[in-house]
Amino acid sequence: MKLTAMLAAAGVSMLLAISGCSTLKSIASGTTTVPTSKIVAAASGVDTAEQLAGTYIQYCSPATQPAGCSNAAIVQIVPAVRSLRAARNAAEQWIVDNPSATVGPASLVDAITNANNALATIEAQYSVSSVVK
Amino acid sequence: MQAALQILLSLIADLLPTITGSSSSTTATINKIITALIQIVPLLSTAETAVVTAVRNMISALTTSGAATPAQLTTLQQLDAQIDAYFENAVTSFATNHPDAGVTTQTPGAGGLSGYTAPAATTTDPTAAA
Repeated sequence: MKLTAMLAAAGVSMLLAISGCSTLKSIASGTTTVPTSKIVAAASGVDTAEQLAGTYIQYCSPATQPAGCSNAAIVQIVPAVRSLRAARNAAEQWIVDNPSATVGPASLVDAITNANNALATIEAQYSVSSVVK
Repeated sequence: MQAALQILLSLIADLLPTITGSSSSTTATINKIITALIQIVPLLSTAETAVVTAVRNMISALTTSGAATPAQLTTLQQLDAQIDAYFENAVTSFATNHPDAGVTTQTPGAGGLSGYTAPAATTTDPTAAA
């Protein structure tokens, strides 16, 4: 039993060593991959919510705030924007570091999608777009 | 001003599909776009969301194109950081006026371009010299 497990592990290691196949390595390590084009698209399409957040904070910055401003919203928006920015930067850096790759970690796309959804949810909850339109 | 910026960005956007490979002409085209973006980004602190988004996505497209040289990538990251800094400056301004709100400020990254010299119009790509 132990010998069988050792042989199986050795077989997998050898396969990974000789294959050079990133997809196979990803499957073996439990990492889900997506086409690089999806990572590029995700990294490029996140800015509307982020810019809306910036505009809202600027709009609500004066000591005497205009109608519709919510400090509670801004307290949630700020870390959400930073998370989104970090996710986008990580994806862009991965593309830069792996110029020949055709697939990449799906986690990069997931991180951007989740961060973007979180920010959009906060903005919808506080009707941010209607305040600064 | 916003309309002029959008027209300019539209013209630049038309160049993006021509950016493929790593030829000297591609490098030169990217240099021209970066030179324009360096002039545009300082205007974004008061620009409309659509304009900022267009510039941001342009920077992202160039960064992930696979055609930019390391020096160009560094410049694009500086431009990106400069736009990030506008957000952090807004947060700092808000926190100053509303200290009880509980917003944490963050020092902007290396967003400024002070000391940066715009890339020359002619390429320094070593592959172009061959």
